[in-house]
Amino acid sequence: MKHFFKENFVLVAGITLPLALALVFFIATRVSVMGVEKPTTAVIFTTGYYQRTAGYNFQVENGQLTFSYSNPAQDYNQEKPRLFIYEPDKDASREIELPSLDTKEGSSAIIEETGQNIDTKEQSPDGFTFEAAYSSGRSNIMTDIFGGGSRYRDNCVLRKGGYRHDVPQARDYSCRFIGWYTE
Amino acid sequence: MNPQTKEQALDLISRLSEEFNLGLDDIGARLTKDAAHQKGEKWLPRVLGYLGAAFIFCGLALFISMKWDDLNSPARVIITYGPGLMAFVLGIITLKDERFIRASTPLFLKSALLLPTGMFVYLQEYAEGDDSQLAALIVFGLLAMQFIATFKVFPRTSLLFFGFLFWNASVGILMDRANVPGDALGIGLGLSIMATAWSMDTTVHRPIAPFFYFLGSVGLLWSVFDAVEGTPADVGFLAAAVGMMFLSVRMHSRTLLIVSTFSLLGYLGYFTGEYFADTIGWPVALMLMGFMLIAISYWAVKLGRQIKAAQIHA
Repeated sequence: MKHFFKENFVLVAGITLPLALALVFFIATRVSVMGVEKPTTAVIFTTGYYQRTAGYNFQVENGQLTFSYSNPAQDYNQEKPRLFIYEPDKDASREIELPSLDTKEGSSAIIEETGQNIDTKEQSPDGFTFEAAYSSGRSNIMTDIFGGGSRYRDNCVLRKGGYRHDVPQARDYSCRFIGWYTE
Repeated sequence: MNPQTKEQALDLISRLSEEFNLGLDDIGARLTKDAAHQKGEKWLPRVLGYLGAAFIFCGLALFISMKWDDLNSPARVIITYGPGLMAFVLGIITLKDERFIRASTPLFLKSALLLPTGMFVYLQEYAEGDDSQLAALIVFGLLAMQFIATFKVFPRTSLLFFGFLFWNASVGILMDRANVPGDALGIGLGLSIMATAWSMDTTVHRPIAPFFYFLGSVGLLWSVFDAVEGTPADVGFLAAAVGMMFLSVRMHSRTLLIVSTFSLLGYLGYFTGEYFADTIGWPVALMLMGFMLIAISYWAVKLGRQIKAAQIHA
């Protein structure tokens, strides 16, 4: 075995270098987030929502969420977005059914299920933010070829310092934060 | 004395090459010329054969896409993974018969395209979750093991080529998931590919080494440039590119020499544009760059000759 390593030092170094790098960064990431409490506040988010001036829109006023369709004159061919609530205690995202709106004349409807409990502050009461996980730094030719599409891995997560908490159903480049559900 | 065994034949060739100062390139060139002469009249059936195979492959792909919506989940998996598996098994069978051994490479190529497709279809149809990167890690990891384990039994270059490609795909994803930053991932993986290609270069699998030299060196230099671009350390790229030039001589690789030369030329363009553009010195800088380009190209040609000489004497 010793003879093999001596004879094939370059090959062994080449094979083990990326594995060693992965191990070092994995341990460093784990150590940096040790002691961080998991999130407790539920978050409401949407996917397939592009925050345009026309078409479907979400508004939060006095803690109440309204879903609307405006400027129909512009004849927007926009797909209906989806609304989710992520509950950390169940570690699951549940879809909230959105009402059908009049896309000819324009209309709006209040989302009853969330009541008046939505807080739109950037940070949750337990110190988390909802954001896209661009954690891998800039992409380059190697990450594009061999990184499994990390550039497009812009799923949304709950972040607190270096700690990231994956949010199910938020693995979508169009996911947007609506607010914290503070029942 | 006529040689009776393979060893004796090699001894004779070695003696003759020393006596008449023949290098590997001279012998290789003659063998290729003879082979080309012998096969000159067989080119038409070969081209028609390849064309036929391409038509069959395209027809299969077209048929699958036309019938896709009518197929249920098992049928979708079988129609994509099945031909890939059959091609892989047939590839192994051809390795056991000297008459069909040349058919193994196209069969392994076909299986390398269809096996991952079938595995992704399987995960799409049956697995839960939305993590496509994890799916890619599983698929490429399993295929790397499959091709490299087969290579251990049947040491064919095509198996090593695809096995190493799948290995890099799975390791790259693993590094990304371990939160290795993009630049460090590129540098680490680039160095790894180059080191492994260097090892391949010393074996009978050396025909695939230039491809991996190219892939590794482009990835490495690109990542180094990304890491230092726009920082005071950007001059460090110069050291990396020049270092790569020297390494090309050490590795006897003209692929590395070409990549490092072009990267150096590109860097000089970036550097003059970054620090001398819109100043009175810009025209002077352009002229200086022109002289530097001429000097570098002269140096590259000189190094290329040294590499060729080293390859002949190897």
